[in-house]
Amino acid sequence: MITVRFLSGLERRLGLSENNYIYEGPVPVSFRTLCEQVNILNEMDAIKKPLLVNCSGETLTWDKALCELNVPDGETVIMFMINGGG
Amino acid sequence: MLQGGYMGKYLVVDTTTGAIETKDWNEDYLKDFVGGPALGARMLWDMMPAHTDALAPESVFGFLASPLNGTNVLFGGRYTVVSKSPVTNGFNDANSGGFFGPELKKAGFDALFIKGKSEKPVYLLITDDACEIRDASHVWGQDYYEAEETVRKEIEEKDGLKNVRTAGIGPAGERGSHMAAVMNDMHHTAGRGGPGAVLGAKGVKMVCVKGTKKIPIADADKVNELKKGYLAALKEADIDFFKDHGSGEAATGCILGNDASTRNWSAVGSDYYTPEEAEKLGAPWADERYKVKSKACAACPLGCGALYKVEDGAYPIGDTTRPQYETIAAFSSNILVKDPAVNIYANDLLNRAGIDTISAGGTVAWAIEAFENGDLTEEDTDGIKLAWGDGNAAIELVKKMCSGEGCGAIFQHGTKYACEALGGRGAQFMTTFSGIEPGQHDPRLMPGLGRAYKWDPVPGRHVKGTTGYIIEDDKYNFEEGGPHTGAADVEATSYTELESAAGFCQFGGIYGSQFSAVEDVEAVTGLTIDLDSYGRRSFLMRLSFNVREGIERKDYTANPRNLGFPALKGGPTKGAQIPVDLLGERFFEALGCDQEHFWPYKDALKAVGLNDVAEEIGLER
Repeated sequence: MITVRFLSGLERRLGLSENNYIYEGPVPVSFRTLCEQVNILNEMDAIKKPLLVNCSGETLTWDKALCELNVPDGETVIMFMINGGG
Repeated sequence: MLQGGYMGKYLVVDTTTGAIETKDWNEDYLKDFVGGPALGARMLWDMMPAHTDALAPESVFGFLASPLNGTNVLFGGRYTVVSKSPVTNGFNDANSGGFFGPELKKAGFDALFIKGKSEKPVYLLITDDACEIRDASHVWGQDYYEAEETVRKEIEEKDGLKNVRTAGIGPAGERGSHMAAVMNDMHHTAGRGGPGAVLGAKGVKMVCVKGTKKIPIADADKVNELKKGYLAALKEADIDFFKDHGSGEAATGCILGNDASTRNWSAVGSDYYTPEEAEKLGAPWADERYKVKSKACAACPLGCGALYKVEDGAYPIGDTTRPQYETIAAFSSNILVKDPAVNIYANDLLNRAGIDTISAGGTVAWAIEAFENGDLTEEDTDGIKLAWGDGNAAIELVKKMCSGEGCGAIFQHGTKYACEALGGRGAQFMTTFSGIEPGQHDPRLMPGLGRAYKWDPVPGRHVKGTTGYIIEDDKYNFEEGGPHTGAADVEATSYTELESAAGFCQFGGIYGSQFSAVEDVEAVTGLTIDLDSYGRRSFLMRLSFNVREGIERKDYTANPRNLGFPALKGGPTKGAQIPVDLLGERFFEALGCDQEHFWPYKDALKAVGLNDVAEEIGLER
């Protein structure tokens, strides 16, 4: 089981009603597949802001996570974005 | 006169003699510089002798309303202050929202320039085509909130004027603190570079404005058409969170993602903060508990500000305002504090004193690191035991800065002054750019910011021209050019220069390129804007002010730590090293400057119409 968690309301931007999603498919799973399963891949790609992914204590850019990240069983993946400031 | 956007006049007030003059603009200046920082630099170039001390009577302080102010163009509510900076001894500009800029225009003036030094404290009252100097002895020493309330009430009772708009200083500006801000309309701040010290040196506590005039618009139909388009786009855009929580919503992601500083820019946010801890520092957490209502600047459909009532936690201070992202980061991850009460209280203390929260937070971070390293001791801090993560100790130091008492007499002036006053101890931990503590966005994540932080004529600013707000696969591909170098940097900078001149809020730009400063300025003023020429002229004018002061390449300084030397060992910026000298060299080459001084060649200045400037400071090729 893998937990996918969205921080600071990112789930609202993605049209999801909850900020936690539980994945119970085959593991380990590529991050790309995980996003497809949660049905957020297209939405995340469409957000034109820096998107970051934290898994196993390491923070990666969205593109890097899509290319390189494989998520093992029992992990919590946290997604968040940097959006301005000022 | 131009068809719209300008009232055609500006005020010059001499607080030594009490002389008040109303002057007509040189129309070419409006056409060339549009407004804001570049117009301010041009005026200061004309009005101040070179090498004037920032705090001397001959030094000039300017308030500039913007062409979009008061026209109801969305996001067009910001005004600019200009002066020399007591920190860098070069040109300084800072801007702020609220309602002050639009009101100044309604009174019939596009700008106000103040020189001299009043024997006793004064405030100015500006009404339709008129200006009066009044005694402010009774509010000198009061915190800004208190003083504004007192003066507004006084004007209402004496003059029958309601909803007067104000800008002025707190006690820090009166004392000449190098971090002193210009506050306006209670909670808004033109904070950076020490403008409050310059206004305070004139003896001016506050400027109050009330006007009734209509602001001319060149093409009202076009302005309305643009506005309708913007409103439609905003409906589609993803703005709910910004509307609900303001810029502080970004804090959680920025802390975990290495955009916000961590441990005086030396560490990785996710090494010190769990997601839960970072989430508690974001504005949504505090909003749920403390938010009373939102508040917005003039012509703003977002409303990123909010009023808070805090009645629990470590500092139950009652009525206050929501800190912006910059303040949250400066008083949380940069000093490893996890309690949001610390940034909320620091924000309140510093606003009342009239001190820039970004610089104050940077100064506290420097002091903590120097203290932990043994460079500073309790003798230097009046017994405050500074430590990473100790919010109470940080608040105690902030209180000293705000009062200016004890060690506050030193720390109130910021990192650079404090370090020098303490004999250079802890200099290796100064994370300033030319003495200015940088904004809370990391060049290692957004490389273009490195160039802006180090090489803009007003260093350390996250809102200055830059390619910085981009994460791309080729972000570190500097040697082969790419999106952060040379011509691309000039192009991105040009837009920001116009945005600032127009009085545009950059938060408008977050929600899409449909918010075009060019179209708005053209519709309001009737001018035709060539963005490349404008951007070059604007930047070169600001740069030329510094050139005339003798400020050159070697005088723009940075701590290598901020640029990835040594590199961070984790997070999305792991290993990132920003060759800021290379970025500067390519940028200034594209602008037509030499490599030794980063000073402009005559032909580059003349190409954008700065002929007299070229004759005075331009280099021969």
